Amino acid sequence: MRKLLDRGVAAAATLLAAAGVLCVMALMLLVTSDVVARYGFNNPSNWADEGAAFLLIAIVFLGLAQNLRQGSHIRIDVFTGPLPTRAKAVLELIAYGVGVLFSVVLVLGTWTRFENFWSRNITGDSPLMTPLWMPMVPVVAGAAVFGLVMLAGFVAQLHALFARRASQGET
Amino acid sequence: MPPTFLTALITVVLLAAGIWVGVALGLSGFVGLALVLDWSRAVDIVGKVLWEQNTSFVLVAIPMFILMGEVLFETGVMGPVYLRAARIVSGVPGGLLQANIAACALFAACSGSSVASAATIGSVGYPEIAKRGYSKPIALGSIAAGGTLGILIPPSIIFIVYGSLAEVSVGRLFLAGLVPGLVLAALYSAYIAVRCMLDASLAPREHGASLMSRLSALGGLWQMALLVLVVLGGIYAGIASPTEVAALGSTLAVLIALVSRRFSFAALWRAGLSTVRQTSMILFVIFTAKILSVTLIYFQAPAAIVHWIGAAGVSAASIFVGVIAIYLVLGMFVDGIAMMVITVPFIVPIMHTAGMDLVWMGVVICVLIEIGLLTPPVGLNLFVLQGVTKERMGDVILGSMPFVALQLAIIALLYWLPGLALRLPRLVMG
Repeated sequence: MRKLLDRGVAAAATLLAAAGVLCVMALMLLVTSDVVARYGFNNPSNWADEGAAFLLIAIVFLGLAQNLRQGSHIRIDVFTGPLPTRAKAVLELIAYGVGVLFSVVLVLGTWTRFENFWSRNITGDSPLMTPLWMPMVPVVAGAAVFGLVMLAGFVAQLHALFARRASQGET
Repeated sequence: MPPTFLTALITVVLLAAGIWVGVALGLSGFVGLALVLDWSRAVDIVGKVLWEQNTSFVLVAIPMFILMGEVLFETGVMGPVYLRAARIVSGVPGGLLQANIAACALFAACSGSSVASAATIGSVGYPEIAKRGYSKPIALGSIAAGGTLGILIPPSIIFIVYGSLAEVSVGRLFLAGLVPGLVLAALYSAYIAVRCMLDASLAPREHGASLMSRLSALGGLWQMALLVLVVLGGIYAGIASPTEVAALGSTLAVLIALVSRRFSFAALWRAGLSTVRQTSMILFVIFTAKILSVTLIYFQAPAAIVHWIGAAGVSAASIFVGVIAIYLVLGMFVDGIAMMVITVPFIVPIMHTAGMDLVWMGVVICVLIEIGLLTPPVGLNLFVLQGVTKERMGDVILGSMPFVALQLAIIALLYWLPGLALRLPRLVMG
């Protein structure tokens, strides 16, 4: 079960990060083409800024889970670094536990915003009138997978702690 | 316990326990909000802050500048640039050490990251330096310190983050960073020249290239010149916003890789993945720091601090020294972005009340973050360079320390001559 959760969240995080790369490329092309259209053809679009902002929020949330898996999120380990291995393992378990709590807040926060945009049919300011629930989809998905990676990390830490205790009991 | 203290306590405990900075800031901010409002209002505010913070057009510049540097790095366009810079500065006392500074300054003008600069010059330049018998500490120090120019010479990710947190124009910050960045590069270069003239064993004497050879090397730097022209020229001429030139710059970096026959889809994909990773990491802490700063505003904490400082009659000079001391100590242990998101919401109102220019302060903070990149135990550039060169960490640290002294000198210079940072933005933007 634990391995299945690990594999599932790893696949989901990788998939989201790949979608994030596509958003980065789209962002580059969108803003560049807008500048070229404005200065080259005197024909600026009136939705590129809004589209760029939607792509930015997608990139941020699509990368969250993979960053957590790869240890790329910033941590201050100056106090925990010198601790003994067991104390570090316990702190790591607490860290993932706290992470799960924050993920719940994050998922609820993003979901509330999504639901608000959806139920009130709120649209963007540009002439495209993009329904704002659309750019919230990758945000909610990113927050949810981030939470699942936290949960998988918590379960893995718990398992490692129990396995160590069991092996110490045997010896 | 008052909610303000409880929130501060939770923040400190979570950060000290090694919890991810974004999680620690976000959760403590949320708990603070839930204490003064209620659970559902707090959840609603979290959703609102993340939407408003992450859909800012100014912040779009962050992934675009990262992508520009990553494309240059992953496609190896910077490799020949180092050798050409070495040819141009050949004959100057210090030889390849001067090339390190020149190449880092060039790369800094095309990338917003100091780590990418140090990693690129370290992997391309250091093998040649080691082969020719240069003193290891000064060689390693020149690359580590040269790399830090990446965040001071525009474009700079640190300036965009500071601009977003302190609500200061990013274009103005870019303009303000240029002259101090060039002066710092000149100071590094002068230090290397003097040391090498006083002690000939530090660097072998390199023969100066002919004028034709130098000119041809200069012509070979057309890619960098084009990027600098588009990125800096676009901002300084007021043609495009930092975000727009960032996107143009990243597209141009791809085109340069194509023309240089170094382009591959695999390299572009790696550059994209790295951009997603760094953007997500940076904006996650900015967004969660915003949750905490909204909470602090609910508590009226910044106003209380400003009132307290005003009542205590603390002078602007004392505040300045205090800020420097805080950043020097924090810089030894905390990552630059994390340091900024934790401190700027408190420091900015104090600076503002003390009558300090926030653009000038942004430049000073940027230099302080540069110092943090070189000071152990958590100096990021030290680790990056040690990882790339596989040399002893002691040599990297030893070689970097004189450059830290030069960085402190530029802060003193900025204090006595604020125009060093402020003249150019005033001249261009009024």
